[in-house]
Amino acid sequence: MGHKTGKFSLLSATLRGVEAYPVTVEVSVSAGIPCMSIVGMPDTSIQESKERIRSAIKSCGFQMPANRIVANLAPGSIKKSGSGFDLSIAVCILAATGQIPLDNLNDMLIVGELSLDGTIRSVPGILAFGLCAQKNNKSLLSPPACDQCVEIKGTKQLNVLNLKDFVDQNFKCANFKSYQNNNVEFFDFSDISGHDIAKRALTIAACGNHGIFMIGSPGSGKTMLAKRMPSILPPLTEKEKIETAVIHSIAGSDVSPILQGLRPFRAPHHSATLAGLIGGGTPMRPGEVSLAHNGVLYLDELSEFASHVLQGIRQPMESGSVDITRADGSLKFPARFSLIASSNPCPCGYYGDREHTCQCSPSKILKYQQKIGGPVLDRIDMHLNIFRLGPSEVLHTGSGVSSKALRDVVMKGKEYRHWRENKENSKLCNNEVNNKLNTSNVSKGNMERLVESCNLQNTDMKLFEQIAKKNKMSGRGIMRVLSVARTIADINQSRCVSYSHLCEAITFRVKEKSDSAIVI
Amino acid sequence: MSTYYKFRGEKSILVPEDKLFPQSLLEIPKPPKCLYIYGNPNALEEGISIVGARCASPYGLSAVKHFGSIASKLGICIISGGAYGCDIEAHKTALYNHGKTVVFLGSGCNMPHPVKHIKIYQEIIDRGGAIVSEFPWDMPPLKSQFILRNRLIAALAKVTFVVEAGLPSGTFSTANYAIEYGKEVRTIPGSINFSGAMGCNKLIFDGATPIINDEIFLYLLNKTFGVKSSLLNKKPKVQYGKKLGFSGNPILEALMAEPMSAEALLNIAKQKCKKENPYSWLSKMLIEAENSGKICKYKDGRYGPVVS
Repeated sequence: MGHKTGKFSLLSATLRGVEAYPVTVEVSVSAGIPCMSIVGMPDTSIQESKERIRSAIKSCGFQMPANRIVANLAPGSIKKSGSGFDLSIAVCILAATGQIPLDNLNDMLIVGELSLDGTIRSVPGILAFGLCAQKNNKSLLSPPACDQCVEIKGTKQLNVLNLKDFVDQNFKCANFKSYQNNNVEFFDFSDISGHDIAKRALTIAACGNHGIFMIGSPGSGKTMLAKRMPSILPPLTEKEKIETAVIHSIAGSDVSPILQGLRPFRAPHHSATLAGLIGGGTPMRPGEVSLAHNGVLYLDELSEFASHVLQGIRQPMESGSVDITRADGSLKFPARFSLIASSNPCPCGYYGDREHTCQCSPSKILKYQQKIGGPVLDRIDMHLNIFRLGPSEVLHTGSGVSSKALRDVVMKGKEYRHWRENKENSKLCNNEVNNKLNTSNVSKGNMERLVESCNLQNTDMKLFEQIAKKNKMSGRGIMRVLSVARTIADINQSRCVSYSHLCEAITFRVKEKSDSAIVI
Repeated sequence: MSTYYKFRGEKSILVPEDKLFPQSLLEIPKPPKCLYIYGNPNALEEGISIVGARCASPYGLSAVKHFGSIASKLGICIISGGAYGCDIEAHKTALYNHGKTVVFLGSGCNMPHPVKHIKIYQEIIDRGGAIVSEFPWDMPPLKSQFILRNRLIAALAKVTFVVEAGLPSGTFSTANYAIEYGKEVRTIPGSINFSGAMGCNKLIFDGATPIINDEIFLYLLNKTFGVKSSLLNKKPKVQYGKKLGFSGNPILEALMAEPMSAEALLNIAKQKCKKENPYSWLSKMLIEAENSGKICKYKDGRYGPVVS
């Protein structure tokens, strides 16, 4: 009974970075000493699948051929990982030995993990597999993954629960939840009464994609404010939703808030390693910066982060992606995020707090403040001091301005900026349409463009020069102030940056090392 | 933490028998047995001691600068302890005005403390001032020694000027010694809401005469040191009846009274901005106030007054 032989092949996929890479699974059952081998650079979890496959096939009443079985995962030079190959290999074995009908199998991309009793288990990254199926014009056959169900246009997504179902092959279509935009308002700025200047600063930061740094004592409200930043960013576009959901699906997180348009908020602990923050490991997984793609990255207690970890964030902040190179090739993870960082003013945390006395000596405070930030502070355009609210203000929660109102301001500002940049770009000869004005690129060209787009009147220009001189602002400092002023002008729908816009931008300027406590 | 450092300059040791040993240091209950000096031993004059908090606000530091300049320009020696904050600002002011200054260390002269001020100490030596200690050359900075050193500051000076002190404060020990030795103590008042000014305000409560304007300070210097300044009238006047005009900037006016955060100032802005956006109005007023030199941003993030 166990002398059946045959061959069969199917399409499956493996996760590489934020994509699913198609893999052809070929199985050959031939005469020889009974054994099963899997070739094609499988990792340990795939090697272990032999036991799961054997047990599942037997539990479901099928015959496990007592022959030489070879499974090949092609192409052979790419490392395969994940437990999702169980199902495709098992189906190939059954098909090769004629135990199940073959008709529809080649129209599908099949992924799933097998339990010992034949039940099929879900694997992370279903959305990525779905996109891969779309690219290869197949439908996706997988176990149900409720929290990662996204409808993909033009691709049928079918669910299978048990290996036995392959006898009839009546697969049900996956159920998709319909997601309405803006249904989710987890955190709203109306929860916070007071902190009006902080809210204004976050609005400006959201509109112009400026990095923002908050200094305040413990409990003053920094994290509370930061958490609400995603609520004033424009909702995710359809394209951004899929982009972001794929990354989260690969990391195994719930994608439903993303599908409802809410931008991700990531707050890694300061003990995070470099790999945890920018991605990596074997197999390569997205890091916190990628999970914050199209959302907000919040670095709380910036002074506690190891400096080599902060250096690692430089590349994504400049280019919007992370390139991780390993022996078998390099992968690109997307990582375009808004940055918020915060810190205490001194080691004990209470310098400047009216209720607690600071226990630190002046030299300790100086050392602490100089240590903050390093590479990340270069990318920060705005600086804010947060002070604790008095009890009466805390008790008036719920009476603050709503996130919706602030978001409207942000969207109007962004629209104006778009319109203005389009107008300016149509005047330029070269095609730099996609070049976002990134303050990290302090090149001559960018500075010129920035000054031009500000359209300062002569009197305002002179006043600004005076202030810059008096405050000993560096070139980079001036760039940052102009950049923020340009955003404030965009919010006010003004073609020219005026004196009042400049003043507001200057009040948010980042402290530079030359700052002394006394105005000379 | 301290490092071993050898200053460049004249090294000398003074004992009570020496001619150059300051008389005022011998008149205290427990005079120093020996003075170890780097620099000019003649520099130990009976001048004015300017002391204050290490965590000084810009208000305090600007006051040191302001009054220290006046004293320095009139040739009065500035005596202090070289500590962070008010002390070192006093020495720097003396250097800036090409005046005389003496530093009393709480450690031996070869283990100067704080380490960050070594460059300034060297410059003081180069310019004819002195770095002094009653402790042997290689003595490290021990906590108990700082209070002992404070008595020498109070003893050498004819008047002790406490610029800014909180409660409790190490600066108080200097003021207490001054009173004990029968020397004058002066101070400047601060906002009653500001914890950094509580020590000074308490001194006033306990009877120290406050310095409230330049003329009164000049009168003090004239009385104590006999120096005359062209700016001095016969009698110091607090100008009655002359109302200082409203500057047109409500934010400036509010901050002259006490330090406030931008959020607190926003409440004023919302009342006074009329039709203009309150945030724009507030930032314009703040920049204008900073430009006037009377306001600056303090290290804790609040805006506050500065003596100018």
